[in-house]
Amino acid sequence: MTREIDCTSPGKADSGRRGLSRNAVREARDFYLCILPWLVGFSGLTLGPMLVSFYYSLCEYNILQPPTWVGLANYVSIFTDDPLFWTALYNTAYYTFFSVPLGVAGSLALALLLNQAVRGVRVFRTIFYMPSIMPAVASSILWIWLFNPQYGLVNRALSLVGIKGPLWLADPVWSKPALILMGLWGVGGGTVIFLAGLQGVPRHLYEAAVVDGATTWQQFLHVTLPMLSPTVFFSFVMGIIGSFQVFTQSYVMTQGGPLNSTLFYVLYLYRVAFEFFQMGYASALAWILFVILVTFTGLQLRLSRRWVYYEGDLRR
Amino acid sequence: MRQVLRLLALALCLSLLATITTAQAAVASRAPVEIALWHDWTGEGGDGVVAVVDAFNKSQSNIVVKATVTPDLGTKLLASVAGRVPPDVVLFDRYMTGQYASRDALTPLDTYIARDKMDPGAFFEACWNETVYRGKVYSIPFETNSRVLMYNKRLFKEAGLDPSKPPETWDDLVRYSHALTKRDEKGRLVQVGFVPIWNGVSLVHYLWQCGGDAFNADATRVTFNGPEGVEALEWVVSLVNYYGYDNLVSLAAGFGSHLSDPFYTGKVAMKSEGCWMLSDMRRYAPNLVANDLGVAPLPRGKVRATIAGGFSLVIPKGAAHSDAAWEFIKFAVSKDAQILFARKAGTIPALKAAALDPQVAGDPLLKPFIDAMEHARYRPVHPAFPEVESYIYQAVDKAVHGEMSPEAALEWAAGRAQKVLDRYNRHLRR
Repeated sequence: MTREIDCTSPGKADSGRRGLSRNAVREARDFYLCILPWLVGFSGLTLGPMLVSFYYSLCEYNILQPPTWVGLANYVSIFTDDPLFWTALYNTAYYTFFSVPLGVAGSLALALLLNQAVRGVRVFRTIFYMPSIMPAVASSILWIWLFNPQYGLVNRALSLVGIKGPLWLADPVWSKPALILMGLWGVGGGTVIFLAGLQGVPRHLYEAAVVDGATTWQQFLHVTLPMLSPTVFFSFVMGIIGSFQVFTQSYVMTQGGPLNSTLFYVLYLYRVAFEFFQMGYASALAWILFVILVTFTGLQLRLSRRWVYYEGDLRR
Repeated sequence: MRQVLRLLALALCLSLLATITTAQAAVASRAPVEIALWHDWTGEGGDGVVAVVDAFNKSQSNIVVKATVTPDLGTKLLASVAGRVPPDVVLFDRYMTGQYASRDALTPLDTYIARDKMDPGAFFEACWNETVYRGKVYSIPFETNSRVLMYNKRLFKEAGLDPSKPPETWDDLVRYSHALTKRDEKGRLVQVGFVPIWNGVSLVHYLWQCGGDAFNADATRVTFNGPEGVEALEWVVSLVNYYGYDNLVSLAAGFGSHLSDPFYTGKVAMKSEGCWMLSDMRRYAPNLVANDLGVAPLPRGKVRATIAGGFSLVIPKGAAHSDAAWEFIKFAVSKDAQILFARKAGTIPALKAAALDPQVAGDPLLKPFIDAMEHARYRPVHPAFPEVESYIYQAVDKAVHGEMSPEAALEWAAGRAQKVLDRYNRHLRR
C-alpha cells in the first residue's frame, strides 16, 4: 500500500488552494500523452463498439438495413424461448468447470517439475511451451487425427491397455471430454507463468521450513502454495474468461455437433450473427456473456481476499 | 470589312475543328471503367472465372473487369454492402439470393432484363426461379449442378447384382445396399452400399423425392414435418440403423480424400454425388472411371428429384458501376462464355443452349448430370430458410442418434422453424 501513496504523493503534496502545481499539471499531461495511443485504441476499437452493440442488442438488426428498436424483446426471447441458448450455456459451463481447474492444476504440476535443477530442463520447458504458440486451427486439425476412433493415437494407446476407446468427437457423450483433454495439451502456457511465480518464492522461507522439520509436501502446502496464490488466482480468472469464449475447436472440429454437444456459447453467437444475420440478437447474447464474465470475475475478486496472499500486503 | 469577316469565319471553323478533335481525343483517351468482381472459386473453377473475365476484357475496350478471389465471401460482402463500398459484381451462391435480396442488399435486375430482352426461358427453370424474390429478379444464374447416383460396377458384380440395372426406387436402393454391405468377423463394416446421410445430402432432398416441400406455397407455414417428411426421415433412419450409426462413424474414420477417397477405394459402393467431383475422380481414380464407374439418376421415392445448386452473378446495392457490371453479366451468360467456363470448371452451364451444346454435353460423364436437370428442384428463396434448414439438420441428427423418433424430431424442429419463419415474415411485412 505504501507504494501507492508514493505514486500520488507529488501531486498531493504540491496541491495548494489554487489547484495543481505547474509540475503536477505537466506530469498529468505527460501521463495522458503517454497513454493516448492506448486510449484512442480502447475507446475507438473496444469501448465504442461495445456501446454500439449494447444499443443493437435492443434492436432487430441485420447489418444491411437500419436497426429497428424492439426494447428488451431479444433478451426476453433468449431467456424464455431459445433452447439452443441453454444448450450452449450448459456446454460452455461444463467445459469451463472441468477445463479450468484441470488446466490450472496441470500447469502448476508441470511448473513444479520444470522448476527442478535437472540437466536439460530448459529444453523441456521449451517443448512443453510449444503447443501454446501453435495456432488453434492447426492444433484442432492435429487433434482430429489423434481422436480418430479407428486410427487415432488416443484409441490406439487405450487399446494397448485393453480399453476399447469411444468415438470421441462423433459421440455426444465424449465430445466435450475430448475437447477438454485437447485443451490440457496447452497447459504449457500457464506453466510459464507459474515458473515465474516459483522463481519469486524467497529461498529463506524454505530454509526456515526445513529447519522446522517440514516435509516436502508440507513445504509445498505452507510455503509454495501461499506464495503462488496470486498466480493461481490470475490463472483462474484468465482461464474462466478464456474458456467461456471457447470457439475455434468446435468450429473447426465438430461444427457444434454431434447433437449440439459441442455447441459452445460463442459458436452459437457467431452463427446467429453471421449465418442468420441476427446481429441484434447476437449482440444481446454477447452482453449476457459479458455480464456472466463480469459476475464471475467479481465473485473471484471477492473470494480472493480470503485466500490470495500478496507479499508486502499489510492486511494480515 | 470582308477581311475581318473572312478572318472571323476562319476562326470559327478552326475553333469548331478544335472542339471536334478535342472531343474525339477525349473519347479516345477516356480510361475504360474498371469494375471489381468478387468470387471465391479456386482450382479449375478459378481458372474458369479467369478465362471468362479475360475473354470479356478482350472483347471490348470500355470496361475492364478485375476479378478478386475473396475467401469468406459472405461475411466480406455483408461488411462491404453495410459500409457502402461494395464490389460492382459478385459471383455468389444462388442459395443466398433470398437472404440478401430481402435485406435490400442487391440491385433488382428487371429493368436491365427488359431493356436487353434477356430470355428467362433460356436458362434452366430451377436456376432462374431461384433468383426471384417477391416477383423481382436479383441474380442471373451463371452455372449449376445436380446430383446423380454413382456406383461401382465391379462391386455390383461381386455382390451378384447386374451393373447395367442401377437401383430405380428407394426400395431397390435399400435392397442393393444390403447386398453390397460387408462386415468383418467382429461385425465391423468394411464396405457399405448407399449411406443417405453422407455427401452432404440434406433431408430436403428426400423430402422432395417423397413429394413434399419445406414450406407451403406462400411461405407462411413450414411443411417438412408432414407425412412426406416423416416418411423420408423414417427411410433415412432405417437405412442408417441397418448399418449402425456408430459402425458408420468408425468406418468413416478411415476415409480420406483424393487417392484414399472411400468411393475410389471401394469402401462405398453407391453415393449421391455432384459433377464437381468428376475432375478429382478423373485424376485420382482413372481406372475406376474407365472401367467400373456407373452413373444413374437418383432413385425415386414417389417422384424423381435432385437439388440444383450453383452460382449466380449479382450487382450489390450501391455498386459504383452497375451498368458496366450488367454488361459483364450479359457477356458471362452468353453461350460462348458459358461453354468456356463449363469446359474449364467441369460444371453445368445455367444457360440451356450451352449445356446442351456438344462441347459440353458431349462429355459422357457430365451428360447424366445435365439430364438430371429435368427433375431439378431449388430451395425456397426466403431469408428464413438457412435458419429453418439448421433445424432440419438438427432433427436428422436427433433421429439418427435415436434421441427422438423421426416423427417427434420433425415435430420439434417444425415448432422451432415455424417461429423462425413467423419472425421473418412479421419483420418483412413491417
